[in-house]
Amino acid sequence: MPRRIRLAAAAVGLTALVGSLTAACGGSSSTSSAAAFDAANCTGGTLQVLDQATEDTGLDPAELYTSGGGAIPRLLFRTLTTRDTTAGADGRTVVPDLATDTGEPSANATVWTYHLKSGLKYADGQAITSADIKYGVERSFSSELAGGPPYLRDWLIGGETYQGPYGANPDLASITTPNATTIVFHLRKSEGDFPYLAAETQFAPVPKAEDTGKNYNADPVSSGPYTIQNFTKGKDLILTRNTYWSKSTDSQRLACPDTIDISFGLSATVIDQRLAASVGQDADAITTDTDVDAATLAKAAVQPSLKARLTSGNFPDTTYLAFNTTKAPFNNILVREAFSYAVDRTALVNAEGGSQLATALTTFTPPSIGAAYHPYDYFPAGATGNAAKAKQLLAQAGYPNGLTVQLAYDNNDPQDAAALQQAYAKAGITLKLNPIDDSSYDSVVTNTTTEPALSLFGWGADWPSGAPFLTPIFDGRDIVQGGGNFNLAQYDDPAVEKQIDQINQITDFTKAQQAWGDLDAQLGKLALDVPLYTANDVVLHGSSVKNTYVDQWRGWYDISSVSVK
Amino acid sequence: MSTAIAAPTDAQAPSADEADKPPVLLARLWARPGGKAALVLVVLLVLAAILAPVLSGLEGQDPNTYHDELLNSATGGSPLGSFGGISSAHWLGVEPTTGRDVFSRLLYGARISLMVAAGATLGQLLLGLLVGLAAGLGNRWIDGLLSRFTDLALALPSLFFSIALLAVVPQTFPRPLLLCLILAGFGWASTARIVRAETLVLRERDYVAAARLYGASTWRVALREILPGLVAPVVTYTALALPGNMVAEAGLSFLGLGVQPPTPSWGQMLSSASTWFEVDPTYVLVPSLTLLLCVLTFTGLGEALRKAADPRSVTR
Amino acid sequence: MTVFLFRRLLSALAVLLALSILVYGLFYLMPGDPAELACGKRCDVSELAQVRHAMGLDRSIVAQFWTFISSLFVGHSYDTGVGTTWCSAPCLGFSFQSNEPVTQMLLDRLPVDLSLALGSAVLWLALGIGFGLFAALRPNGLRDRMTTLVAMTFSATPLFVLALLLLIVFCVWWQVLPFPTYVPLTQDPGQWFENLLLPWLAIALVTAGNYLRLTRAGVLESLGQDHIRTLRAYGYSERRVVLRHAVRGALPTLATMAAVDIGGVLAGAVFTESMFGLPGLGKLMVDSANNVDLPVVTGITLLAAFLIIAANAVADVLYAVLDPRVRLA
Repeated sequence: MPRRIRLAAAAVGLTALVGSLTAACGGSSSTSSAAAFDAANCTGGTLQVLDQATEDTGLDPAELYTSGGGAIPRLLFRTLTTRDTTAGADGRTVVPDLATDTGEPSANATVWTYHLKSGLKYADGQAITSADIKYGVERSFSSELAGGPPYLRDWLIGGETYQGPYGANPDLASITTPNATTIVFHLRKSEGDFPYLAAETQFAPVPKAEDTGKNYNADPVSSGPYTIQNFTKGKDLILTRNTYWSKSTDSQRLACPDTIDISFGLSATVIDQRLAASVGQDADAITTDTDVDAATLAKAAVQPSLKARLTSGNFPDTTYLAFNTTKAPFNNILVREAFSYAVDRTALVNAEGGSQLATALTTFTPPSIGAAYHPYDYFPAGATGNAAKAKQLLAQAGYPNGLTVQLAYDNNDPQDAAALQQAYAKAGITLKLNPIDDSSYDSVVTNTTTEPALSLFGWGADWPSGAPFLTPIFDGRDIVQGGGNFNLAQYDDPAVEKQIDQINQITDFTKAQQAWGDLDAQLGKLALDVPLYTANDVVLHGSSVKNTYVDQWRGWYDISSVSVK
Repeated sequence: MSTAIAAPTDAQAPSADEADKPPVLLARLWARPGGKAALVLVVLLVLAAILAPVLSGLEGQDPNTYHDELLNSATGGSPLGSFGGISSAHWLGVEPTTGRDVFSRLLYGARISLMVAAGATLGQLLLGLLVGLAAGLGNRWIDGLLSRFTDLALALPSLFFSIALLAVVPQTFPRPLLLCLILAGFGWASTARIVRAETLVLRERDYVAAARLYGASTWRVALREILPGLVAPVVTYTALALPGNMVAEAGLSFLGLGVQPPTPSWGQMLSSASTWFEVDPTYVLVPSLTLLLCVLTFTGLGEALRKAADPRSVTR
Repeated sequence: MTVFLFRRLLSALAVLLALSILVYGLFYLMPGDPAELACGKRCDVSELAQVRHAMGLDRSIVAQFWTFISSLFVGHSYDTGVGTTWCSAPCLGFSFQSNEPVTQMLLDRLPVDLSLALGSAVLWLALGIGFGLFAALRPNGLRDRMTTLVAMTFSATPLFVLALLLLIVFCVWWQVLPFPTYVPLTQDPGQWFENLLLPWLAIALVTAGNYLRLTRAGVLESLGQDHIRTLRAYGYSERRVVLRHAVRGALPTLATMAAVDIGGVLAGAVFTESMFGLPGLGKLMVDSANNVDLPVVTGITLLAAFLIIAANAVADVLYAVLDPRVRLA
C-alpha cells in the first residue's frame, strides 16, 4: 500500500498555522560569481542541509520508508536499483545501482533475477554479497524493525507469515542466492513494477556480522559514497566520504561535497528564512524537505536574486474529495456528479499558495506520474465551478432544495475545507465543517467503521507508476475492514480487479503505464471522488549551491548531485 | 430576593457610599476628558461588532466570499493592486490566497473578540465574587482554605495550562465557549483576592455590623450590604481585566488554538498575516492596529474608571 | 532570618506539590488515549497494549503519580519496547513520541530561554529605570507625561502585535536587524546578540512600563524624605540627588518585581519563539501541545510553575533583605 502523503502540511504542522515568517530581513544574498558547474571537477567543501525531519527513529534501512531511496539514506545505502539521477522527466525512470540491470523478469513477472556488479564494497572495506541483500530484505520483516513499505510482505511468497531472521525460522525461502553475485525473488503474483520497489532502502545490503538489531539505526554500515561521522538523533548528522566507494561502480551519485552537515528538527520558518538570507555557511545550504510558502513566492516576484534560487519540481500526488459510496447521499452517482460539477478549483489552488504551488486536477493520476496520466474532464466545472449544472443534477437526484453534508478534514489543514465550503454554497450544498484532530485524522478516515461520508484526503505514489497510485484506492480486495483502508469509496468491482491483475503482468513499463492511464480514465466516469489539485514543490537553496534540481520522482532536491565548490 | 421581607435596617443604614453607585461613577467618568473619549470609542467598537452585517453590507461584501479574480495566482496568491488590494469595493483590501474581504472579516472578528473577552470577564467576575465573598464572610477555616486555593490559582502558569487544554479538548466542543471557560477559570483568582480584601474592610463598617446585629443572615448581608460596596472596585478591576482577556484570546488564536477557521478572528488574521509582513504589510497592519486600538481603548476606559472611582488618588 | 527562609521554602514546596497534583490530574483526566498518540498511526492492538504498559497507563493513577514524583528524585527506567532508557533524576517523564527523556528535551532548549530572559531583563531594567528617572527629574512636566504615556501604551500592547510591528519597522522599512535566528552564544557571540535583539526589544518594551512607573513613584516618594532634603540643603545638584540617593528607595520594589517577571518570562517566550521560530521551551510547548505529547506538556507546565513559585519566593526574600522595614517573622 503506498504511502499516504500529507504534502507539506504533515511536516510543517503547526508552523503553518502559527505565523511562520519567511523573510530575509537585513541579510543580503551574496551572489556567487564562481564558475559554472562541472561534474568532472565538483568535489570539495561542506554542504549544509537544513531539514524539518527529526530522524529520531534513526537510519536503519529496514525501518526507513522512502520513495526512491530517499535523499539522505541514498547517500549511505546503495540498493539493487535506484532512480535515474537526472533533471526532468527522465528522473522518473528506474536504473541499476548495485545490480547490472533493473532485473530479469520471468515471462509472467513473478520471478525476478538480479546480478551484482563486481568490486562493490562497504565503508569498512568488506565486499558486498547477494546474501547481504537477502539478509537486508529479511530484516525488514522483523516486527522490531517495522516501519518500511508493506509491499514485500504482500508480494513475496511466504511473506505474510515470515517473522524475520531473528526468530525460529530465520530463512525466507522465496529469496535465493545461487552465488555471491546473484539474487532471485519469487513472487506470489505478477508485479511488473518490482524494479521500482527494489530502489527502496530495504534492498540495501546489511552485513549479518555487523547487525546490531534495534541499535543498527544509530550507526548502519554504509555502502554509499558517504559514511556516518557523527549522528545525534533529532539534532544533526555529519557525513564524510566512504573511501571504499568508487565512482566507477556508481553512475548515479556524483558525491561532490567532502562533508555533508545535516541539521534536523528546524522549523519551516527557520529553513525558509536562512535559505533566503543565505548568509555565511547558509550560502552552502539546501533542504531536502521544505517547500517555500506563498509569501516567499510573492517576494520572489519582485526580487530577482531570490527568484533565481527557486527550483521547482513534482512528486506525483493528488489531493481529492473522497466519497464514502456506501453512505447516503453519495451512494447516488447523480449527487457525486453534482459535487464534481460544483467544485471551484481556482479557489483551492490559490488557498494552497497559487499556481506555482498547486495545479488544478480533473484526473485522479496527476500529469507528473508520466505515461499513466490520461487527461479527462467528464464533469467540466470550469475554473470556478458550474453551480447551475450541479443544482440541476441535485434536483434530479431528489434534492431540489439543495442538501447539507459534513466534510471531514484535518484541523491542521483548514484552508481547503474553507474554500470548498464557500464554493459549494453557490450550488445549494451546505458543507458543515468537521475538523478532526491531526493526530487521529488518518485512523478515523481509513477505518471502514468510522469513515465519514465525505472527507479530504491526499495520495502520493511510492514510485512514479499507476500501480501504487490506483490499486489501493480502487481495488476492492484492498478494502480492509477496520483500520488502514485507503479505498475510501469502498468501491468493489470484480471486473476492475481482473483488469488490475492483467496490467500487473505487463513487464513493458510504458505499456503498463498506458494501461493504468486507461483504467483511471475508465474509473473517472464513476465519480468515485473529486480530484482537486496536485501540489507542486518549490524549493529554495543557498546562493553557492550548484547543480540544484528537483528530481521528478520525489519532488525534492537530488542531494547526491549538488556541489558547493 | 423578595422585597416583601425587606429588613427594617434598610432605612437606617445607608447601604454603601453614595459615591460608589454606578450612575455616579458613570457621571464622573463622563466628566473626565479621557473617560469621555474612551467611553465613546468603546461604544463605537461594540456597535461596529453588533452591526457587522450591516456595515459589511454597506461596503457590499461579506466575510466568506472568495475573490480569486483579485489575486495574482502566479505570485503565491498575493492581492492585485497596491496596499493589499485596497479599493472602493474592498475598503481594507483582501486577504492573500483567498481574496476574502479584510474589512468584513475584521468586523466579524470583533464579534468573537468582544464576545469571548466579555464572556470570560463575566465568568471571572462571578467566580471571583463567589470565592472572595465566601472567604471574606466565612469563618477562619473557610477563609484559610479559599485563600490558599486562590494563592495556588495565582501561581498557575495560566498560558501553559490554556495551551494544553485547548490542544487536548476535542474539536467538537464549541471553541468560543471553551475559551471563555478557560480564561475565566484561570483569571478569577485576582478578582477573588480583591473582593476578599474589600469585604474584610466592609464587614467592619457600622452599617454592616448593625445589619448583623439585627440578625440578618450571612447571605443577606453579602447581597444587600457588602455587594453594593464592592461595585466600584470590582467594576474598575473588571474594566482593566477585559482588555487582558481580549489579548489572551487573540494570543491563543494566534497560536492556532482559538476559534477555528473559517470563522474570522483577529488572532487568526494576525497569524496568517505574519507570513506576509514583507510583501503585504497592509494585511499585517490592519488587524494589528485594530487590536491595539481596541486594547488601548479598553485599558484607557479602565484607567479612567479607576480614577473616577477614587478621585482622591493622585497620578502615579 | 533562617526561620523565615525555612518557612518560605516549605510553603513554596507545598504549593509546588499541590500544583503537580493538579497538573497531572488534569491531563490524566483528559479524553484521548496517550498510548495511541505515542504509538502512532500504524499501531495494532497488541502493540498498543505494549505501549500502554511501557507508559505505565495500565496502573492506577495514584501509582502513576507516585512514579512521576519519585522519578523526580531518583530517576526512572523507561521501556521503549526494544530496550530501556534510563531517565536520570530529576526525571520529568519520558516522551514516547520523540523517544527522549523530557528533562533532556527541556535542558536542550533552556539556553534559548536563558538568553531571552537575561537579555530582555537587562534591557527592560535599563529602559524602565532610565526613563523612570528621566520622568522623575521633572515630575508632572511635559516630558514626564509623554514618557509615561508612551510607556503605558507599550505595556498595553500585546506582545505578538508588538513583535510584528517591530519586525516591519526594523526588518522591512529600516533593514537594520536580521530576522531572528537562534545562534548559540558559545558559537558566535556577535551573531547571538544581533539575532536576539529584536525578541529582547519586544519583551522589554512590553515589560518596561511597570518599572518606569515604580521607579518614578519610588523616587518621588524618597524625594520628600528628610535625608534628601538635607542633601539638597548641602547644595547637591538635583540630578545627583535623584541618581545617587533617591533611586535607592525604589530598589527593593524593583528587585522584587524583576525576580517575579524573570520567573514568568516563559509566557512571553511562547509568543516570541513561535513567531520567530526560536527553538526554545515556548515553541516546544506549542509544538508538543499540538502533537498532544502529554509528558512534555506536563513537564514544561510544571517547570513554568516552578519558575513562578521560585521567583516569588526569591522576591519575598529579596524584599525582606533589601527593605529593613519588613519584619521577619
